[in-house]
Amino acid sequence: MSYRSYNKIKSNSRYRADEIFYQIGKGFWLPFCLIGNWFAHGGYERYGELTACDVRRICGFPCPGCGGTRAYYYLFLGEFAKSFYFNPIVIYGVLAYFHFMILYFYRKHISGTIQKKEIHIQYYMYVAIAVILTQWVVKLIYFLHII
Amino acid sequence: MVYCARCGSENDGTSKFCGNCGAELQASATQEQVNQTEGALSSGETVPVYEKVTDAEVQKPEPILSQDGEKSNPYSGSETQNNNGGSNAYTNPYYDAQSPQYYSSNQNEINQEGGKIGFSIASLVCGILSLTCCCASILGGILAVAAVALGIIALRNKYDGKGMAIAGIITGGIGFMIAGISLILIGAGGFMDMFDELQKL
Repeated sequence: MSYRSYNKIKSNSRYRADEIFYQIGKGFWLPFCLIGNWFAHGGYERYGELTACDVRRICGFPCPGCGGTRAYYYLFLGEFAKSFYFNPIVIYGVLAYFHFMILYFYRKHISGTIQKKEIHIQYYMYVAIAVILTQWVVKLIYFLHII
Repeated sequence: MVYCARCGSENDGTSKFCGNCGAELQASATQEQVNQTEGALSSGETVPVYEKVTDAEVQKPEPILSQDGEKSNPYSGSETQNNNGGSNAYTNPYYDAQSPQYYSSNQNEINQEGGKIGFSIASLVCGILSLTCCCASILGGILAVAAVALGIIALRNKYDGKGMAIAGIITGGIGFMIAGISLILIGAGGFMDMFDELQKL
């Protein structure tokens, strides 16, 4: 087996995280925008009650995902500051995924360096976890009136 | 008495597998078959003669010089050396010391230890979603269990993405705790309502 065919098999046999997320992202953005547009123009008023938080209703304290629906709603109304205020993970997730898609597209189709440089998708996720936990701790601090 | 066709060791007539090598004994020769064969040979029947084709098993191979100039036995060495046929910088001009080389006609045999990064990714994604979806207690609990299970599978089988698997287990654990607390309180609230109604009766 020649060196070239060995490299071909090796590259085919290993899945890359950035490639998986790029393929998912190609089918993600259109439904995300359509649902968001519907949600901002009537959907939230009709079905907003269904997304009420069980944890807050029963336990009394906010959960890490509290405010996510309102943040999604205000994002598609164009009020980014309010969206960030209710839950910053929504606006961070949109910006991070958009940045990743643009970077992958550039490296694949324009610069052609995608085979050499893998985009480390896990760093986007680690930051997302940090954002979720930080905003949750801040909400808990305000909720418990520690400050 | 049954003889193993693989290693030739004696086994009980009732045993199905060889006690020495573990091979299946169904295709092995029994004592009667051995006696029949010996009888046939002693009665003067013709014995097949096999022509000697090569001296490959008789001749000892020449030692291959390694990169440092030391002689190494091509029939010994690590598993990696056996997989790539004892290839090194001296014998193979395409040899890359940084990455192990595998020669196989089956693509599935390549990268069996690593690969399958999908488990780690799925674990981390489920962990993050379990944190954000723990508003819905049952959905958050299911996602948290999936995150922990996928992370453990990825770690136990040494798949790629160890850091993502660990992060998935941690986030799944936090999500499971929140979902578990809310589910317990929901159950306790329902039990208290039922208890109040029973007291009214």
